[in-house]
Amino acid sequence: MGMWGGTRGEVDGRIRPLSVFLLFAGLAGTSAALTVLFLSMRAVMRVGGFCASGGPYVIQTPCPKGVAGLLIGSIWLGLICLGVYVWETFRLAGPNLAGLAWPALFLSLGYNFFEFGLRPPEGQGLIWGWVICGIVFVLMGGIPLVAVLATLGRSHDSPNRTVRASAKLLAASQLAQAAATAAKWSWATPSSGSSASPPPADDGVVGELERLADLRRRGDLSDEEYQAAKRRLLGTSGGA
Amino acid sequence: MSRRALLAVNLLAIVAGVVLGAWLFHTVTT
Repeated sequence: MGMWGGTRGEVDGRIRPLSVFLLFAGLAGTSAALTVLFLSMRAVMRVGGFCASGGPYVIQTPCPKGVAGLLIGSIWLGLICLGVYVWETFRLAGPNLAGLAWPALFLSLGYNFFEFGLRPPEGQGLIWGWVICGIVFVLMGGIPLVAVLATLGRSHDSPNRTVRASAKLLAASQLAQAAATAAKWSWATPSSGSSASPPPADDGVVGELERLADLRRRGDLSDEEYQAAKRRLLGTSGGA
Repeated sequence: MSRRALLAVNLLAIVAGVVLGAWLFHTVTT
């Protein structure tokens, strides 16, 4: 912590040495596991592709020394280390190369199948079983590799894309807002045009009615005169 | 830590892993 001369919070917030170490160890472990798996497979293929070790039976082809343990150990080590790596990648928000592990596994093992299938160590002709396995493995590794590389390419310029997409979205929303406002105006205009005369008319009628009621209250108009005036006013406005 | 520095750590880890794996394999099998 003192190495960076900052407070604990700054170190935790910015550098996180333990996370960087675990990131390194996780990816190095994954890479080491893939390498061990690749080399172990080659060792087994060199003795014909089938071997055994331990157990109560007579073994026709014993496995090369330590290979059985390395095969099993590398699979578990690889999975655990990949998990640690992915976890720390998310914590550090750094580049995530975990998607390359699958293609690395299948392409490296597919390479072994091709090499030993096309040029078997004991000199016999093609071993079609291995060549077919090689084709399957190369497809299983190659197709995701293309997808992963495409994703990495996209994530590189993602900020630009995001900005562009946001700008488009903003422009679209502004356009929609403007259109909505225009529509409101165009909808409002005829109604306000038609109601432009009614409100004054309404105001006029109401005002007239109020004035008549006021006159009657003051005694200037009798009830009959008020009713007649009211009928005439309402009848006139209704006719118009 | 910058993205570039983290990428460098990643690449270094891959190389170190390959070397470590090869060393481990040869140590165990020979």
